[in-house]
Amino acid sequence: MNDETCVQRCREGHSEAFRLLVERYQRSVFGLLFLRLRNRTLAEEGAQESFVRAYENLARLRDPAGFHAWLLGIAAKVALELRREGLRLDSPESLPEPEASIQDPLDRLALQAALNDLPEGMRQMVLLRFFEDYTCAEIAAHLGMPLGSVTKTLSRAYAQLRLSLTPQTLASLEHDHELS
Amino acid sequence: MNCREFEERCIESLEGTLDASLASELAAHLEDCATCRAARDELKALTERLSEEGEACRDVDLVPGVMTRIERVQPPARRHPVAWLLGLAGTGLAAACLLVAVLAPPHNAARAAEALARGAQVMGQLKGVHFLARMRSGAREPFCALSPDQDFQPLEVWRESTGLHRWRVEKPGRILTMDGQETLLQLVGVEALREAGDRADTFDAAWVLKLADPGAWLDAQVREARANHWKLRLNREKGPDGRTQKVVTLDVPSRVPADDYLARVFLDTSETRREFRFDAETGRLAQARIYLKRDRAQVLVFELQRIDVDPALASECFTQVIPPSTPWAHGAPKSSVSMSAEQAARAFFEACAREDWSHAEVFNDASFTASFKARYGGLQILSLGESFTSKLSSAPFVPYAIRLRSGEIKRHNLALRQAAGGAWLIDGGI
Repeated sequence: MNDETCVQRCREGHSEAFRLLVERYQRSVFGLLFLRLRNRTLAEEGAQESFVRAYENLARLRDPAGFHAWLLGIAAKVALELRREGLRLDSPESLPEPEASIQDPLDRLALQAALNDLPEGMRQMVLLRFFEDYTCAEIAAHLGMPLGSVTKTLSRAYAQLRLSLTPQTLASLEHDHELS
Repeated sequence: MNCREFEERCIESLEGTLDASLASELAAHLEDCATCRAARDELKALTERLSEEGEACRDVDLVPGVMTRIERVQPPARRHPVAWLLGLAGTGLAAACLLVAVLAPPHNAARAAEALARGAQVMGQLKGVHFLARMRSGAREPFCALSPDQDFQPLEVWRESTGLHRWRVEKPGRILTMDGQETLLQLVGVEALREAGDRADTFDAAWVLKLADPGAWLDAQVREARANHWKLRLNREKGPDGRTQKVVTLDVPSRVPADDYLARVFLDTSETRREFRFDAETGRLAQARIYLKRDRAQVLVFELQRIDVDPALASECFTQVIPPSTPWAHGAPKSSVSMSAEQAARAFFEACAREDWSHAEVFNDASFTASFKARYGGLQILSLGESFTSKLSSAPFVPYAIRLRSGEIKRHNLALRQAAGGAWLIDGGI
């Protein structure tokens, strides 16, 4: 069942169809929240909230085939709200520190920041490719675009990520980290 | 292949989608070009790091949490239009209900009561009912018991309102029939019990059977709502078949104090919101939903999905064939008569821990199944609390925590009852 049919079934009152959409996109939504909030518990809470809001507002979705991009937009808004909420609480514990990683934490932070800076379309594709584990051909079929467009968009995304991960960017990030 | 062609093909190469001839050309180019080799290695490292980022999200499972939450909100296409206008759609069912209550004119409650009373009158004329419902409950748990955190179990009921007053109530692990002579309970794969006469109360089916006499049930709702000043509201909505429905909503307070154990265990003792949908033209009940209120949330726990009125009910419907492998329950032994409820609970769990099933069965009126023994055999008692009772019953519950052999820690309340001779029997909670 494609996204359009799932959305239609939900609108007809078959809430079980929403399960497919959650199963299909939970990793990318969680991933986006995790990139923004850098805390698993908050990201999980935000991802759940994003899906519930999407369900509540399905009647407003104009293009059901564009569900995933729309959902990521909701998730980005939820991330912003959760972040603001943390800041408003004005407590050092409110916004948790980045979680420990087997990699160099600065290296990982830089990658997460770079992913956050990607334009929406590119980020959606990277999330589908690496968080939902779609192949390029599956992304092409899913988004209804030629395979060549997918590989070109991914190629541009990689180029931008590499640019964001230059030694200068990392040095700047390290400086910020020391100050914080 | 030159450097520019390599750049165009590099991703396909990493994705493994490049055809064999181009792949060998690309490999040959990499042999000769250190710049492209470095670019390929850098890109490969980047995609590997992205994969690691993605890997961290693989084990996330949002499905149970999201599906539980969306059960509490109205389907997206059926929202109250005013709620949309005021931008309250995202705040959920509670806000929508509050809004409807605020906007409801003073005579709305009286019109809701009228709709309910008309429904009671129309449904009271039926000679028989068959309905399909679903309820959050364990498959073998008593029919009136709620388990709001579990999945829905289908529930099907047949009731003859004339002649012998025969009935049948069924869910996957529990079947109860009354053929006009005796009541027969089958706990599927566990045991069977029979008692003479109509024993719906004994076997916890009275509440469900009230639903199967919708005229009397709705009439009781009207009377209780008036006597106890329950909040009533009326709305009009389009049903799935396009016909107009009158939707009556009742806020029903718990029959026991909020901190009473039974406040969230049985449908008829819990604080609920009940929603009845009547066909606006005929007055017939089309659907009913019951939401359990807990904390600030409302969980859909029961849904009457389909009602067949005056169906043809064959005699076989009210009887059942018990498989020969199913044991019949026997009377309770007397050795636990002198114990307190806590002592009985401890003795039972200690017998399970020792896998001394003949002793454990002292507290049960039938043999334990192999699957029960496999699950509870060798358990470890972590804690046993003091027994407590509900306002509605003097039968005690003993809080317990046990670690099963599987490592699972189970916390629950063991329900006990005393048989005629005073022996303790387990009545639920395991």
